[in-house]
Amino acid sequence: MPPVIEKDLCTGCGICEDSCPLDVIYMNEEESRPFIKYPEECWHCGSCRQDCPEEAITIRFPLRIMVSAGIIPY
Amino acid sequence: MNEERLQTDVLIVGGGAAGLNAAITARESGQLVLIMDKAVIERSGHSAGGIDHFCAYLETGPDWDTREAYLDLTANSARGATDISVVEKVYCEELKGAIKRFDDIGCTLMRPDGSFFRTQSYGQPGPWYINFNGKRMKPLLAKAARDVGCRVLDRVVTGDLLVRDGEVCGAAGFHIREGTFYVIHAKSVLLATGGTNRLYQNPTGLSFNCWMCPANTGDGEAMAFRAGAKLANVEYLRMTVIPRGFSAAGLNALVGMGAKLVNGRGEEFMGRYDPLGMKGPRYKLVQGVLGELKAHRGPVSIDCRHLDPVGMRHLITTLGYDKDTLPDFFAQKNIDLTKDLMEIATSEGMQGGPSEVCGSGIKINQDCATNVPGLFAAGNSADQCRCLHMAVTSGIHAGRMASAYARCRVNPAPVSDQQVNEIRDRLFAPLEGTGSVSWHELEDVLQRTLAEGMGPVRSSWGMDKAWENLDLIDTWKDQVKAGDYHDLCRVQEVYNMMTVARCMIRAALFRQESRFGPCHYRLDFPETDDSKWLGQITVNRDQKGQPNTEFFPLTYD
Repeated sequence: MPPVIEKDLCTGCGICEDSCPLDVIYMNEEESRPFIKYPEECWHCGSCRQDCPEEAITIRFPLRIMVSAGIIPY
Repeated sequence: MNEERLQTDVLIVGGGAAGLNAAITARESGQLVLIMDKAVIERSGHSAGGIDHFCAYLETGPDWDTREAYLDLTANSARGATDISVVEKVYCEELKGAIKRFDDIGCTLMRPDGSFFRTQSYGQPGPWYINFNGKRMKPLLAKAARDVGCRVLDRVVTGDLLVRDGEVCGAAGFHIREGTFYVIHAKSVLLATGGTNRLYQNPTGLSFNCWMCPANTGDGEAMAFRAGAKLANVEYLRMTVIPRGFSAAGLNALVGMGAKLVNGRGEEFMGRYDPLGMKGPRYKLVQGVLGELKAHRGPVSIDCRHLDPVGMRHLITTLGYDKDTLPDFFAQKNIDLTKDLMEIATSEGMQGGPSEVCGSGIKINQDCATNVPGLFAAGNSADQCRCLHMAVTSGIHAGRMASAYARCRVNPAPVSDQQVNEIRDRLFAPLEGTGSVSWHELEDVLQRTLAEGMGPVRSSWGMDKAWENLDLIDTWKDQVKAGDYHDLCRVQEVYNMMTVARCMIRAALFRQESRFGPCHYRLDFPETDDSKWLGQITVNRDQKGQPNTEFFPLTYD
């Protein structure tokens, strides 16, 4: 789950939802807070983090990127 | 579902760097402009999160800093793929205006002292890459487009073009969250949807961990093909060199600042693969890395440790401009470029032009027009355009030409209800599907098919096998199921990738030679043969809808 949204810092403004080029971030209407609906469709572009006015977003790379095992060149 | 019908003069499909520059130009010339983008245009397309370089000759005096030098490099590095007459009109004639556009939107290419920071890579005869902070280029372009009065449909993916009497007269698509079906009538349509990614397996297994934007899935190329437009240079497969595990942009910054590739023995090996060594073309860097790994001289790493502190600071900053999260990756992997070698790998493949100065996709002429009246293309979806410098110049040029076309045309009569209904039924069919095949499964099978038969090393039997597999996948289409409109967008993306894949296979089968190293290497025709193949393979649909290939010769001085 690459973007991690710090709930205590987030004000629910919804800017990150619009910033995502891959339609990955949605608002939870009941909580008025964003969540990562499609974590595997993240491009790690950092748009959400750059645009967050509260600096509530950090990037955490998934296991498959961190380990990157079994890479076989063509 | 809801349906909305709208009218405009110029319809822009794709609001990335090319599309928004086109939109601003077309609107400033007095036309009504409507932009459709599957994301929100402030952060959509390949430069969504930022970009750090723009390629330009600036005519400051030296021979390398001239239009002639640029055209020489273009001709030499993309010989047989680049059409110099188009590059002159689309890039050279618009370059000054493009640099001014950056100033106009408040995202200057200059440093505070008014100078340009220029670096050299990829076979350039001098430092043509202007480094700049493009992290906010997209929001600033989007603001300029909205301020000048362009109408924007955010989160609306375009499904198909409307065609009447052989002339394009609009497009139709749907909102990827609410499902509203949009039918837009327009006097001209400009496609700026980027290249085709996610065609090949990502080394990590994460399909969206790709070098270029994973939302760019050949949508424009596929709909242009369906409307009768020619594609060109689509046989070429493109790869790059990436930090192992993370398909991030940034190679240009590393090479430009003087980083070196070294093998497991600590040897700088690029001299074995290109006379320019580290300053050779990107595909030669890929070839070098693959060569060392196959010869069991891995791991292959990038070495920046020799850079002076000023250069190192610039490098680390500019890497973060090009890929905002690359510094996070270094931190989480404990990579310190001042002290450590950084292990690298080759990226996933993608359909792309063979060099930084030549693209692939919808074939354009000197006016950025396609062979279908009313249809224009720009940026990475056009066959001659690649990288930011050509996204901006071709965007401006195509915007002007699409605008001129619209000015001379009366409002086209609406297309038939039958045409609109057919598009809507085709787009929405997976919502009604009763089967269990998801877009993930469809994409996975496509990627495996291309890896097996359509990788960088090709043979006629392998490509025939890939074609048969695509036929087989087609028989499963009635089993494909989309749960919501987001999923539906993804299904349509994979369908478009399949269309581009078929065009790739046909073009690659037709080109019975090898060209540009791992971009197109045929085991059964391993030599480059300029006597027969100096030119493009064009692909357009025949009467049955199948790809028809032709040879388009190119000449060079």
